[in-house]
Amino acid sequence: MHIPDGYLDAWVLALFLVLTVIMLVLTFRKANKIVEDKHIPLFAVLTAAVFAAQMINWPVGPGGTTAHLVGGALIAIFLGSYGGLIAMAVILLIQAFLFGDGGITALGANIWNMGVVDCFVGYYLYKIISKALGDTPRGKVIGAFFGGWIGITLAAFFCGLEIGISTIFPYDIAVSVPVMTIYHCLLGTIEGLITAFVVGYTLKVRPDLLELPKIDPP
Amino acid sequence: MSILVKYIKSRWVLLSIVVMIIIVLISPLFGYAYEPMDYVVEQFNAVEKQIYEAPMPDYIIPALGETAISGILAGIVGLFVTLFVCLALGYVLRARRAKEPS
Repeated sequence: MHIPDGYLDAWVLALFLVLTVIMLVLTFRKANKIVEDKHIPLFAVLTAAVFAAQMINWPVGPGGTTAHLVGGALIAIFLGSYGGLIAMAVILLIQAFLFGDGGITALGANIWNMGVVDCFVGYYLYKIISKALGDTPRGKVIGAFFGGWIGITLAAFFCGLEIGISTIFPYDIAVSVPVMTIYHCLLGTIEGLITAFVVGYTLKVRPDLLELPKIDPP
Repeated sequence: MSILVKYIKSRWVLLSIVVMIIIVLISPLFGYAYEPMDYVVEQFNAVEKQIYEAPMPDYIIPALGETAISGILAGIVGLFVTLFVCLALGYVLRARRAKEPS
């Protein structure tokens, strides 16, 4: 889902860069007030784990397509939506500058899709579903599944929207949005299952890791 | 540096790092990638305009060529860079919180 350089029009790049910078400013303002010692190892381990997991591609999609974990919802469930956004921004910056994975000019759009959309949708869906199911471990696992699944699907929707409205592509959003969204809706079930598994396993062995103060909007 | 070491001393953190290294070690087995984005790009005949040459393009160390060991070493470098950046960033955020008036 990493958009390289050259796929998006200048105004699309600028729009999503501005939106992402606004979100990051709000995020760091809040993080300055919340981050404490116990957040730091969890933040580092989750971010590095998602970086490593993104190197594994699973060939399960139609036409031999592959997918990898995006992980924004997973990190956000542990650290809050803003916490997930910081982690995804770190991953995407390292991937772009060290490995050329994702364009430098497209960083705003990529952080918006995989950071803002995936983390916020995934985290709030997890919260709503787990609360509706009585905040039980089962409810949290189900919430994590839907958070991971719908988070990546909506991130792909935005990705399709950005490339569809850019003039470099001869087709429009009527093609790019359905292709990106439908494919990721199918592949995203794996993301949902992995998110649910990690949350379920953590609830069994270290439930305290899910109870840290969340880095979230007020 | 010692303050950063403090954060990774606990057993679960060290165990997680071992698991992450194992994931990177097996990653060449799952290296083939043809994502929905590639499918869309193929349909539209779009061409990437590269404006920046990354030091380890496509998770490969150029001096070692496109080999499994090159991919593994690049992944391990990325893994530890990510860990270090996050520990440092977390430390800075925590230090700023401590300075905030209560």
